[in-house]
Amino acid sequence: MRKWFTQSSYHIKIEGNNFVNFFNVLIKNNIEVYNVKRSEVGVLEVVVLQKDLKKITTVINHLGFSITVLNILGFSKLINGAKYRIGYVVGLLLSIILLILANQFIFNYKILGTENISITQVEKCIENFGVKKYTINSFDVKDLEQYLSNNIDDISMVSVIKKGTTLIINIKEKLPDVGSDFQPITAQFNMLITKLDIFAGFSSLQVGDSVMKGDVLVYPYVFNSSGEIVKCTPVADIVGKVWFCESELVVKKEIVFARTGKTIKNSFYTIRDFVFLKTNNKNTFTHFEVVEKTVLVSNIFLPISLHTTTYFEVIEKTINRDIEKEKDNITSKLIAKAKTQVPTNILIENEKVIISNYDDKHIISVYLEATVSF
Amino acid sequence: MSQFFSNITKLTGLPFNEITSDFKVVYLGGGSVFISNYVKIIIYNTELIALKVKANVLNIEGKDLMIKQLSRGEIIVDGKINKIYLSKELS
Repeated sequence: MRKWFTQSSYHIKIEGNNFVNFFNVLIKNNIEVYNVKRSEVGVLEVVVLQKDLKKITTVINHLGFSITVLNILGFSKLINGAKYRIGYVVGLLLSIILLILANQFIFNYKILGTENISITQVEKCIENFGVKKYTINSFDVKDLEQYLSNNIDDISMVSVIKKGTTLIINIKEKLPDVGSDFQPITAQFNMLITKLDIFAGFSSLQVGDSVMKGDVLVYPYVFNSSGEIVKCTPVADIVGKVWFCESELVVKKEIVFARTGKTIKNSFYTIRDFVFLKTNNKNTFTHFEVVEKTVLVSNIFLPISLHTTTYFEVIEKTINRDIEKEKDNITSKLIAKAKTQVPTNILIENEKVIISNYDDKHIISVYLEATVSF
Repeated sequence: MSQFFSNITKLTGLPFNEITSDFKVVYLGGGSVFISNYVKIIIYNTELIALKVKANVLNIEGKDLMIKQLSRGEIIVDGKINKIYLSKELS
């Protein structure tokens, strides 16, 4: 930082003639001056350090110059200002003290991440630790974190932050205890149960029932003679029929739009939002398709992009589809598609093709039948 | 003589102009020029500042010239500087 600003300095006005002589006297007396400005003829404005002010006054008087202090600069100005504005200084100090004091208070708790733990339980625990609302609290957040995790069982992790007058408690709860030994038997596919022999466990299903994928087939418990639940590992022999199916809708009369080959093109270049070289050809087609494309032409200095809009003329065509001709082709495609759903360890026992007619539509459905066991 | 001072600068590592009291002119860019080891100011106005340096006169010509800092042996001149040149006498 500049010397004349960091130290206390004076902006002075010197009036007289032959300033060259004045400068040389300053040099001789080892006086430093800054920002020398000739404001008008016979008037010179300079900045001089406080320590040199007395020296300069003595020297100037000998030369017959007059000196006037225009302004005080640097830190002395601040100090001088504070002397005459004691009310402001006191107000500022009081505000700082109040701000520091207010930060010691806690007006609000913000408890996040709770699902099973009740907020009141956490709040009580905080108060038991000694942190109370609307009072001055001085505590270590680490200690509070430790206290909360020790006193609330379901807490897996907790972090406490004091933000202004709010205490933010972020809780991560423990995951529910899932016993790995007692898992139910669930359906792996949508299926029809053909055999159900239960050796251990409980099920409300019977042969002939249909189940969806993920449904519980056998629960991991049994009832004892007094009707109480006793946990166990379910063991059962379950066989079911599964169908993997695919279908396609075939419309007898289909309307398609074919391009005639006639096109109308419009394009323009852009540099960011600036548009130039724009063509404006009118689209005269009654039926058309629109294809819009943007290509970055150059990105050396500025990104130049070319935007093109192409209108393709299309005509309506009616296609009559012969189901008898296409049937085999579609069926083999559907079978191949349905086979992709079948896991490798399952053998397909039967294939079924059903063609249903609805007015001008056909629905071709393919079913692959297989038996699965658990 | 200059060979003698040259040897001293090599030995001491001090700048040549500091030992010989030769002046140094540094153009700081942005329209400022720093001059050290000048003797005195000869002319001062907003178009020309002339400084006595050893046996010569260093002239700084320009517009709106002002002295940014003035102390014994060092001066910084600020403004639109057009020409800096040495002359035997005042221009």
